[in-house]
Order: sequence, then C-alpha cells, then structure tokens
Amino acid sequence: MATKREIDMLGLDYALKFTAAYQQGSKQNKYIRETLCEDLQFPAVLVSPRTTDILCGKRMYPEVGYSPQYGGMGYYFDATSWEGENAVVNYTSDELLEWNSLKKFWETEATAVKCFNSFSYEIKNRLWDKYDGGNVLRHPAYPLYRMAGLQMDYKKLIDNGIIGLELEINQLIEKAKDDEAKMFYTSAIKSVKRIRTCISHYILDAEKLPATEKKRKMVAALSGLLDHAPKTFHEGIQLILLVQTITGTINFGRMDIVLGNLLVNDLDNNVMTWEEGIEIMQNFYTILEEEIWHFDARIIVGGLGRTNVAAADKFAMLAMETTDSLSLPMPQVSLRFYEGQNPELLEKAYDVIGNGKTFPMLYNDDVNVSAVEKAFHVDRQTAEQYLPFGCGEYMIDKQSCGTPNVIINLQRCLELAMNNGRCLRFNDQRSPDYGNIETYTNIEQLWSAYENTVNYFLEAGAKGQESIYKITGQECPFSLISVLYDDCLAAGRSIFDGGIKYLGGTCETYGNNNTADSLTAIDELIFKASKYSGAELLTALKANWEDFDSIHKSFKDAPKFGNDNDIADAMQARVHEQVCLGTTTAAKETSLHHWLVVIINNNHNTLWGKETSASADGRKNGEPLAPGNSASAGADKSGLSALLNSQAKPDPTIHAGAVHNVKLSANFPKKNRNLYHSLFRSYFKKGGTQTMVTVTSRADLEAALETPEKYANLLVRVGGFSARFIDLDKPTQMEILSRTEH
Amino acid sequence: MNGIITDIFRTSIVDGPGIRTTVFLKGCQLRCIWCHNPETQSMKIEKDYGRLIDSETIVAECVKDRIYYDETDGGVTLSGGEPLMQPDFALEILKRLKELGIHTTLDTTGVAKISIYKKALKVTDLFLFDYKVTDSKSHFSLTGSRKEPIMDTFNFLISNNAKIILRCPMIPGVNDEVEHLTTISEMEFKYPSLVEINILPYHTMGNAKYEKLGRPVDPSLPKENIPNKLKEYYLSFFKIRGNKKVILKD
Repeated sequence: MATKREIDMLGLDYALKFTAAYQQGSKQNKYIRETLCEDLQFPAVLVSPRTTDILCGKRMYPEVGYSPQYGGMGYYFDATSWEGENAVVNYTSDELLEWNSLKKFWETEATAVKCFNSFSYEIKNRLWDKYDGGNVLRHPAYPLYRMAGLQMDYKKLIDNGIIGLELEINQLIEKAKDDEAKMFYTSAIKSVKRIRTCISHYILDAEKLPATEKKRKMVAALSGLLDHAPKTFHEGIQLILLVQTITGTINFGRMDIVLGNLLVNDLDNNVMTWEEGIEIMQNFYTILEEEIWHFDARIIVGGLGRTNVAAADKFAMLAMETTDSLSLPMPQVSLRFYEGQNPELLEKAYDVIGNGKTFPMLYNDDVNVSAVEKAFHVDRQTAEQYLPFGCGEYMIDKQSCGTPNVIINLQRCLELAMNNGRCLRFNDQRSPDYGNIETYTNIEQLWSAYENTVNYFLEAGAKGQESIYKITGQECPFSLISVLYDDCLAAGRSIFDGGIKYLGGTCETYGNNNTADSLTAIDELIFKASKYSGAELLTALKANWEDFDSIHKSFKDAPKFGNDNDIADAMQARVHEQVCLGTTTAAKETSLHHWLVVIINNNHNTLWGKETSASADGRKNGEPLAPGNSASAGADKSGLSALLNSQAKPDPTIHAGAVHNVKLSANFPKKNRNLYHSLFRSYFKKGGTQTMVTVTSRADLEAALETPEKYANLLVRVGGFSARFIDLDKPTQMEILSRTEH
Repeated sequence: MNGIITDIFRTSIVDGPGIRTTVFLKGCQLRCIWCHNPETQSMKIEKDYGRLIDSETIVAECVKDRIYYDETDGGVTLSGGEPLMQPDFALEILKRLKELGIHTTLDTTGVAKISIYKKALKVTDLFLFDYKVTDSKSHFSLTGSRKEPIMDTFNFLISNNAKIILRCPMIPGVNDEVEHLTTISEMEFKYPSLVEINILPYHTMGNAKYEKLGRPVDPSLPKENIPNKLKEYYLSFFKIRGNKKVILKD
C-alpha cells in the first residue's frame, strides 16, 4: 500500500448530489446538514467484502465527502482525479464546467478553507497556508487541517450494542435541556441508525458471495448485531470495524479491554477455537493494511488501568500472535507494560519484534502514566487511560482529541536565528530579525534568538489549533463520534462544540536533535574554543559544506546526541525543554485544555530535510533530519546502551509522546535472546518511555534495493510507522540504511 | 593517569559475559597477520585512530552502563591491542572498576611480563587468553612473537587459579591444521579450570581498516569469511573428541 492515500472516485453525479445535500442542509443547521450528507455517503461509499473475508468494513473517500481526517477534514473536496497534470478521468467539456462550478463552491465552503479563513492576520502571516502534503516545505511551520487522534468508547459500543445506544439517546431526546441539545440528539440517533443501514447493506452484499463457511459466519455476525449487543468475539470485532469505517477514526485503542471478555467467553464455551480467533484477526489485520494509512491503525494492549486483566491479556497474546503470523506493516500493535504485569506479554513482544515484525511498539507505563498525569494536568486514574495513536502522539481514551494541527521544524528556526530571520539558501525573510551569528559573542545570544524564533511560530500555532477546533465545532457535529465520547451526550453538545472533556491538541516538532547537535557544535567550536568564527560557519553552511572539508569535519566530530555524552545530551535536554514549555506557554493564551509537543515522525524528517539548509551538526542540505527522538544518521557511534541512555534522558513529563527508533542487527535477538531482553529491560528501568525496534541486517536492506521482488516481507520502522522496505521511496530507503545498526 | 585508546565501545556482546563496555587500548607487541584491529598495533596516535584519555574519564564512561551490567552479569573488558602494553594505565582502570564493584575482563595475548600479570590477577575477574598457533616456528612467523613466554604466562595464570576463556582465532589454510585443533581439544582436558574455549572464525571486517591505514592485507589470508561448511567441520572435530567447552563464535 502506498504511504499516501489516493482519492477514490465516485464521479460527478455523486459529487453533485452530495453538494446539493450540503447546500440544502446549510439552510437549516449543521446537524441536519450532517445527517443529509452522511445519509448520502452511507452506504454509497462502502466497499463489498471479498470471498476471502470474514469481516465487512471497507470504504472509499470520494472526491467530495465528510470525514474527520481522510479525504480531507470535515467537508472536503478533492479535485486531483479530474484536473491538473495527473487527471485520472477525461471528462467532457460540459462535465468539466460542472466540476468547475463545484470546485468554485467548495473553494470557500470546505471546512479546511473555513478554518484557514478564520485565522487572524498574525496566524496567517506566521504559519504558511500552502501546506501541500509535504511536497515542498519551505516554511518553518505549517498548520494541518485534520481531526486526527479520536478514540471512541468501543467498550460502551460493545456493552450496549446498537440497541442500547438507541435506547439511551431516545431517553435523552425527551428531556433535552435546549434546542441545541435536541438537534444534536436527533442527529445522534440518526447516526446510530445509520450503523443499522450499513449492516443491512452488508448483509445483502454478503449474500452475493459464494456459499462458504466464512460467508455463513459473516452473515450470522452481521445479523446478530441488528438484534443484540455483541455476544461473540466475531460480532464484537465486526461492530468495531464497522463503526470505525463509518466514522473514519482509524485507530482502535485498548482493544484488549474491549474484546477480552468476549474472546475468553467464546474460548471457554467452545464457541470459537484459538485458531478461529487467529483467522478472524488475520482478516481484520489484512483489511486494516489495505484500508488505513501506515501512520494509523493503532491497537493498544496491556498496561495500567485495566479491570479485566486476565481476559485482556488473552486478547493481547492473540493480537501479538497474529502480528507474528503475518508480515504486514499494519496494524500498529503497541504493548503497554508495567512492573508486575504478566511477564508473558513482554516476552512474547520481544520475540515477535525479534522476528523482524517491527511490532509491537513498547510503552513503559511505570514512567508514562505519571508523565501523562503531569503533562495533561489530569488525575492518575485518567492518565492510566492514555493512548498512543497514529505515529505516537498521546491522547486520553474517549476524553480528548490528540490531533496535531501544527508542524514545526526546529532546525529551520535555528537557521533563521543565525541569519537575521532569513533562509540560508534563498535569503528570503521567514521570521523577525533577531540577529546574526556573525555578531553573537556567546551561545546565550544565539540561544535567545533561537528561542524567540521558535516562540514566534508557536504563539501562532496555538491560536491556529484553537481556531481549527472552533470552526470544526461550528461546522461538524461528528454525531456518531460524539455519541461514543465521554460527556457529549450528557452535555447535549457535539464533540467540538462543548461536548469533549479535554479539548487539547498537539504540535509535531521536527529536527529537534539536529538543532541540539548544531547548537552543541557551535558552542564548542565557535564560542568555547574560538576555532572558527560565526561568519566562517555561515559561509560554509551557505556553500552546503562544499569545499569546506576541514571545518565540516570539525563540526561533524563535535559531540552528538545518542552517545550518552553529557555535553551533547545537556544541549538536547535544553532544546527539548524549550520547545515543550514554549508550546504549553503559547497555549495559555488560548482556551485549549492542553497543547503539547509530540516528537514523532512520519516521513516529514526526510521531506523537510530536502528544504532545510546545511546545518552545523554537519548535515548537508537534502539529507534527512533525525527521526523523532533518535540520533542523527550514524551519529550514535558509542554502542546501543549509550544510545538508549541518551534517549532515556529527555523529560517525559512535558510532552505528549516521543518515538525512539532502534535498528538491531538480526543476529542480536536471534543468538542472544536473553541479553536482548535484558538490554531493553535495563533501558526501561532507567526511565525509557518507549521504543520501536527494527530487526534487520544491512545486507538484507542492500539486497532489497537490488532485488526488491525477493524482499516483499522485509519490514522496517520508518519513524512513527512501519513499512515494507521495498515500498518506500528512495530517499527514505537511504535514510533507513544510513541509521546505525546495533 | 593518561593512556592511549582507539575506542570505548558500549553494549559489546562478544568480549566476555553479558553486556559489556569494551575499551580498546593502543599498542601491541604481536603482529598477527590476520589481526582485525590493526589500528591498535602502534602505540602512536594516528590520523584516524587513537586519542589520549584519562583513566578516570574511561571509568566514568564505563559506570554509565552499570544497570546493564547488573542485569546481565556483564561488565568491562579491556582489549586492544595488548592492554598490558600500557600496564600502569590498564591496571589503574581495572583497579578503579573493581573498587566500584564492576566485573572486569582482560583480553590479553599473554605477552607481557609475569610481574605485570601478578598485579593484573588482583584486579581481573576473567582473562580472555589468546591461543593462536601450536607449532612454535609458525607461531613466530605468523605473530612475530615467540610462543614460549606466552605459554609461561598461561601456566602462571592457570597455577594461580585465574578464570580463563581460551580464545583461538581460526584462519583457514593459515593456522587450522589438525595438530593445532587437536592441541586445543586436549587443552580442555589438561586444564579443567578453563571456563570456555572460544573458536573465533576469521572474518574480513578488518580489511577496511587496513585500507584506511594504507597497509596491505596479507595475501595469504582468505578472501572471504569462513564458509559455514568449515565451521561445521570445526564443530564436529571437537564434538567427536568429547569437548564440552568449545564454543564457535560468530
């Protein structure tokens, strides 16, 4: 599967109808508008099951639609299939005229456009509007329009079933506190009934399949859901997949809590064997792999805050065994663990990782729960319900939205701070002039300019995030999501219009460790040793280090993060603290409950590396930035424990998740199983929060470049997502190769 | 106290038990033709290799991984080169580590003076002792050093109850004659206090260093890593003879 989801095509007629429904609804209110549009979307966008499937739940995101994230945020319109250089369909001139008038309409009506238009001059000026999916990232910070990081209450869904939800909402309608609540409840009940519509649609679809045992089970599970709350594991997972499909929320949260009891009940009562459970899970995983971006589809197992521990553990083992049985870059199974948890889970996890599956990712609850408590300003019980989603951002299960709506490149900020707010490559002004490294006489002057530059963008970012929530709340009730989010029904308000308990968000930071290493090198070589002048460095950087071999070597050889080096790690801690606290401080000027840094990585480290000038850590323009909280490519030269020790240092109590890539030689876990387990156990004892491990060998990676057809199963962890190595673009492949193999 | 090293490598899993930090000291009396650390032979600081460092700095670096040592029964290994070419420096590091309760291993060729090994015994938990060539003449021509003093050291350590892992680099067509293999096999029974006997198959990973140093790789060496078939032959050789302590390393 490609790492970027292409738009699906339903054609002009569908787009016209959807637009008409939107226009008609707009004359009344957002709830009716959503109902009209959603009734048009479903079941129209649903995709039929195959003969090999045992579960239903696939969909399209057509040219125009409604979704929290995929396709576009809220009401979206995507013209890429019919215009431009890569038009997929040749329409007649009359049809193109119609498309153009639709385009004109959505140019001001799309929710993302409304969000941008709501920005003040300050936000527009500081954040760039032209985020184009990451193709050209010239600016140091961008707003992103999406509502990522939504995790609905699947336990409530499973415990109550469709019938239970209908009952609850019907009772609420009668005693709605005001008109707004009544409109919301009306939309909510329709959103629940829409699940029925989709199930009925799928039953008809399934009936068309050839008669097999799989089909019989599929129809039975679907039919059961129309009648009662899920009674079997199959019914439970089917309902979750379907509701996820309809809402487009793309992550799955603590499935062990949600499905553990049904699983154990089925196994105990011979309703289903373990092997049948694996078969269902394999189909589930395969569907997710086809349907969802590599960045999402998190399934969380283990951890503090579970009441049905034994049953949940059973599901955890099933999930990991399924991962082991397939070689898919999805779903992103993640294991939370703590001292005292059933050790089998972690043992199993190490073995599956050791087999090169890149999953599960490991999360240390003994550190993370109290860190979340502090960072999110919530009590411990709430903090126990933290969830990593997507590329590794944290949110609070069914109580917050973790969406990152701003991305910022710290290395670009440092570049501006060194050069009067001007880009080194093109000399264009991107931030205020806080000074130039030629005139700074000590590191504190540079630091001050850097800090001002970062804060300049963060201030606008926090306001941008707030504004995006506000407009989304005004435009999009997301009724079904709201039904399954704490407090919304009780408050009579949809999720982003007063319903959600903790309205917070996150900010993705990139190049953190390049920035830290650059500052270390500058401090050591320019200010402390006076070996070079600021002017000399600027000249070398502008020349992309070409013909500056000697100075380049000096800056490359300066202390680097990832070696447990006190000097480098202290600077890294300073950079980390500054951006984390700067982010929370910026949010104080807004109504956000929290706004926190996430040090994650999709492939923006590679994309942004293209546009980031040469840096003082020795990196050249075009080379990737360090992914997440990892060392720069090849900079971690002192051995694995040194890297892990460095990674365990940054304060975990001031952000909402950081990812740590480690690349291990396949021989290590294979031939030294006990040492490999102990190594990570020690890392976590030392305060490590998280790790994600690629087990491979340089030889395999190189061979896969030569003969990709032989390496279809070679999985690598890129940053916040896994991928088949052969599916990655060349720069990302080279970035993976450049990482140190331990 | 200052000394010259090439590297401090953390999380080594090939230089003794558990997870270890290995410090590579510069300088060696031997000139084994297959040496895979040629950059450590000369005592001098060279262009790409070697730096002056204080023993306390080394100890401080080693202490950082104590939690990993504790968890895996690991510790610190001094390697090289021959660490005892800088005897005071090496012994100082070992002494400080022992004081801190960290397991110490000394990877040695056996070529230093007995008086130095006497001191080393007090601060070393485990010796990785090289046994390279059985025939005395060949020993001299392949390593540039006489075998007899090395064996004197070995006997000295054995008679002083030192814990020893015997390490035998195996170079196809160079030192892997039947006589040599037979002697290694017999040593297990002759010296029951040996902890293990490690067979270290030749690999070509050191070649890049020769290139960097501007030195030729000895033409009599194999061009490739040891093939699996040969590894199996070595294993069966020792198995047939009832060896239990012989382990073939990667």
